[in-house]
Amino acid sequence: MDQYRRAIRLTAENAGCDRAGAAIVRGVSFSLAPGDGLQLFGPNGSGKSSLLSMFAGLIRPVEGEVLWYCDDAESPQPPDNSIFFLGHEASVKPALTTLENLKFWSDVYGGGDVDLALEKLGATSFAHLRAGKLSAGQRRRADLARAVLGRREVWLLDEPTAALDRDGVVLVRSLINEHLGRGGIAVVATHDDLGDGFKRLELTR
Amino acid sequence: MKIVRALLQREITIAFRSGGGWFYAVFFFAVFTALAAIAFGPALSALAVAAPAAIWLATALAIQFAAADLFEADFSDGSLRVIAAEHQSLLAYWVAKVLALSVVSALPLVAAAPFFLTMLGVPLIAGAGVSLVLLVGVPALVFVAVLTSALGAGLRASGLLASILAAPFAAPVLVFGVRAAKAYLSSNLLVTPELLILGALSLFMAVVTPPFVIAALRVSLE
Repeated sequence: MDQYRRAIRLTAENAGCDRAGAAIVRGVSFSLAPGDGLQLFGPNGSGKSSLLSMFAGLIRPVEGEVLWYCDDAESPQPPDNSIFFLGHEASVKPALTTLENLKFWSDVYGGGDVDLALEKLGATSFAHLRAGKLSAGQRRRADLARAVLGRREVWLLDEPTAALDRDGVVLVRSLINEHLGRGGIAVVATHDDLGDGFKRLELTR
Repeated sequence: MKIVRALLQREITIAFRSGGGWFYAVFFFAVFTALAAIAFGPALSALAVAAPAAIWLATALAIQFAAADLFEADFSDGSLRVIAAEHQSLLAYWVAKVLALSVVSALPLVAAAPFFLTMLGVPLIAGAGVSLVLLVGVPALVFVAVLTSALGAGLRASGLLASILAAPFAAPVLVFGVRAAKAYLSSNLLVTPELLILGALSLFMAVVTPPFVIAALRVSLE
């Protein structure tokens, strides 16, 4: 399997973030080396999504530190073009077809094989349907296809298996494992079983 | 620059699909000028006096209206978050949104203005001159509309808030825009001090607004 160009590590030291001015996550510490995955648990509203946004560099930690190491450079912000972010809504436009949506994302990510991405996610059959006509699970598959396009070293996934069928869940698991096998890192907020080898972080409310 | 092209192409494709918004602004513009013509009464002389003010008001409101949910879809479906995580700067995103609003809404207004001005008693040729005046001031309105729309990103009924926020910024554009259009219609002078100030306002807004737009979008993601 071809490895990623860069080896990226992520460490958090007693990090915490706020949501809407209220303390929501406190005292998060861990360290991820290439090939490591971290699974976030916790009840609804415990700050899983906020934490993912913090790792993506969109929310500043209010205490502690989040540090990225790319090869030898160290930074509080993720390295350029390293993040694949999957939010809880599918980032597709209802007026565009699945294919058009993915072509757009491949331009944003600076390349990527759209046909391969569609095929890998089993989305070829609805490539020419407008995203507005798709089921929630199909939309999620279209959104997940961005992962194949982007070839990003860091995956931040918020409930990646939501709305997916059983095959879809297996597919997500294999995509994540393939990604880790290439030397990537992943932080996944999910209650599904991702298998052994995942570090676990339990959030409380 | 590739991302600007990709975003712009996407916005334009969506705008021209069914349910897209390319005609909203022109439609609003048409309704406004038609109602203005009725409200001012049938006397052509009275209409011609009011025409510059009416056309500028129609333009300002139509652009504000068209920009109301400029960021709404990208905000709620998470695209904005993905793009912000991808690029350290949202400047390219701002450029794309400004261009999209200009191409989809503002330029069609400028192009349609001479025709609607005939309803207000301004001959078509003179109306084309007023269009040129509009062209100089409309960028300022576009920049302000993008800013106020970004400030309301993620809020409910943000269109109302946006139009209140936009009012003080749009006021100078209206003042000098109407004066420049009047000068053109009454004495056929196109390049007047008012027009130059109008152009200066557009340039000023182009420089001043982007950092605030980007900051507002970043805050909306927190």
